Amino acid sequence: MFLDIPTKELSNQLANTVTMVFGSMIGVQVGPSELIEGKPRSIPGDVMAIITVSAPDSTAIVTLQCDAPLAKAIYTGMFGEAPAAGSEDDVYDAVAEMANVIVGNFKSTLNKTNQGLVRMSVSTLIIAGRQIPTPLPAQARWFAVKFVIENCHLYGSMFITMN
Amino acid sequence: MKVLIIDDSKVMRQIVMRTLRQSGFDSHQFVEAGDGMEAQSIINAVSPDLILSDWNMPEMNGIELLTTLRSQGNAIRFGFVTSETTPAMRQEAKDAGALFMIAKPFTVESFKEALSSILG
Repeated sequence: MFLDIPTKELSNQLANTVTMVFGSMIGVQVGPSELIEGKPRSIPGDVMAIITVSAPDSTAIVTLQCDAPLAKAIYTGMFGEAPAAGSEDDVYDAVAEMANVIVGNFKSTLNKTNQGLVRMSVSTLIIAGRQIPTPLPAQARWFAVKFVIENCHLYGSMFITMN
Repeated sequence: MKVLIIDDSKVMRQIVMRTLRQSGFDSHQFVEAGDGMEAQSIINAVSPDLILSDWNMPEMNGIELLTTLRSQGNAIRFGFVTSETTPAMRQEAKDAGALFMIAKPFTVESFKEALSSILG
């Protein structure tokens, strides 16, 4: 499924979904996005949520990465108050759920013509300083979209491989 | 009424409960579970009147829980609150006995529309 969709279309759809979810869930406007293409590479961020979307012909690993201040802003937007001291896990959970909603909506949009055949994993979190980063496929079609949200950066990326 | 909220995200369970209260359903009792497996023991213990379940969860997902409940003859009212809402999934949920599917991100209005006839 992913193999048939041009990168520009995937990245635009991802950007539209991020904008919609941030606006609907936490009332935050997302600034202009920037497409980054090329060889898969690591991108900055304190928190990374990873979700795998499996289609019959291809698999996409979708990541969402942000810095700690944006993670706290996401939590604050969800609850209307800043996280209490010692509630880091709840902050990271908020990022994981934001990623889950973004990827779920992204998948539903792409899956309209291929219904029922695409499966989505639960969100896995990689937190800087806690875990060794999960190796992501080096041989993959890859792109990232960089967003500016409340003066912080959010990156969404996709690693697409043939099954 | 007792409402069981099932989601592997504690944050999302809290948001669902807050949205239920904002929707005017604050007089009901809320119970939580982190996945379908945990939900089964809670269902046996507290006999909820309504289940609001995520679809995509570890251990036992939402549709597996619903199918299991129906196969046991349990007709408890069941609805999904999920980020994946393709027409195929809506049909699968309906066929399994779900009453509604609320899409994340949701609003107070979407909760009222789905739940007013059940929770009053």
